[in-house]
Amino acid sequence: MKHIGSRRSQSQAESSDKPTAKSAENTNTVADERELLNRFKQEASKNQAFEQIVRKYRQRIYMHIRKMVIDHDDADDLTQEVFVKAWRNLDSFRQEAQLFTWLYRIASNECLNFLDKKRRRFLIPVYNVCKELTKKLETHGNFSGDEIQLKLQKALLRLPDKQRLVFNLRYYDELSYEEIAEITGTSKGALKASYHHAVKKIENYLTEN
Amino acid sequence: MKLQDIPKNDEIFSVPEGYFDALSDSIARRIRNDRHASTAKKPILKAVYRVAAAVTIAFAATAIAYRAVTPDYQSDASPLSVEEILFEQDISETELLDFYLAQTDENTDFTAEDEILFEFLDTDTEDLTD
Repeated sequence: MKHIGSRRSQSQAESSDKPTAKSAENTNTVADERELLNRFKQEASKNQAFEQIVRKYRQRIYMHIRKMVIDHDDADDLTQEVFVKAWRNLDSFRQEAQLFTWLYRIASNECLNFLDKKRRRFLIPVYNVCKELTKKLETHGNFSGDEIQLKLQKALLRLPDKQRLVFNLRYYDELSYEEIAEITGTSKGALKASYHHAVKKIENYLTEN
Repeated sequence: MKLQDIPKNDEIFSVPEGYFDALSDSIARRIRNDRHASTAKKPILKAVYRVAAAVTIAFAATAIAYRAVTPDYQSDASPLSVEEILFEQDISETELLDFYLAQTDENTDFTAEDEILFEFLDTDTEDLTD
């Protein structure tokens, strides 16, 4: 098993509206994205351009989904679905938004729909989905963080799906509120409030357990 | 406990070795299947449309033919006139009167009914005097 992602310092979770290191990195890729999209629009370089898009974003998209659905197989399936949908709709993608926020948006919708369907299929209350995901976290051997990380994940699983999504985008992916607003279609003010409440709930859980 | 007290680490989920290389291939395969499925669907859809059109045309043709053959629908079938009923069908005036009275609704104005009756009686009286 190979670990993905990188260990970073803990300074990034501040709720200020300044662009974070990762979002600055995202801005640098805008020119690359345009170039890729232009190549995608030409029939001769379409496949190659899309392959590059997949290579560029597969890990980030997968990790974003994995944090939401926990299980590797589910995350794998949803990641593939995200890129298939991107392939189908990339021609109609208007370059008003960034490509990576567009992909994140598809991925986020896939995750929320997946969790909704899970809930509806088994007609079980929110608590049980949380329980099921917590069990996956503990028993499937696919979690490789330490004890405190596990505790943090358990606290996160108690949040409503959308709030967890916003927390992950801000805390782990270090996106700016503008970028998260683009992804979720929610106002910056509401996102700040949501993140703030999520942090409070998590801290309460960590203190009590 | 504060969130800042927890060292941030996103190395929390592990994936199988070589997963991301395989992921690109899986995505490419899925897209190929998707394209194949969408192109395969087109002839099927065309066939469905053709069958639907054929059924509609056949139904319309049958309906037109049925209307042309069935007497009820024939436009040249004109009803018999009152004279034809009286002189060719051998119906007596009494029978005709009974028919009119039977057809007359109870709520119909009595004057209309009386007028018919008196007209009939007048002609009868004239006949007797002759």
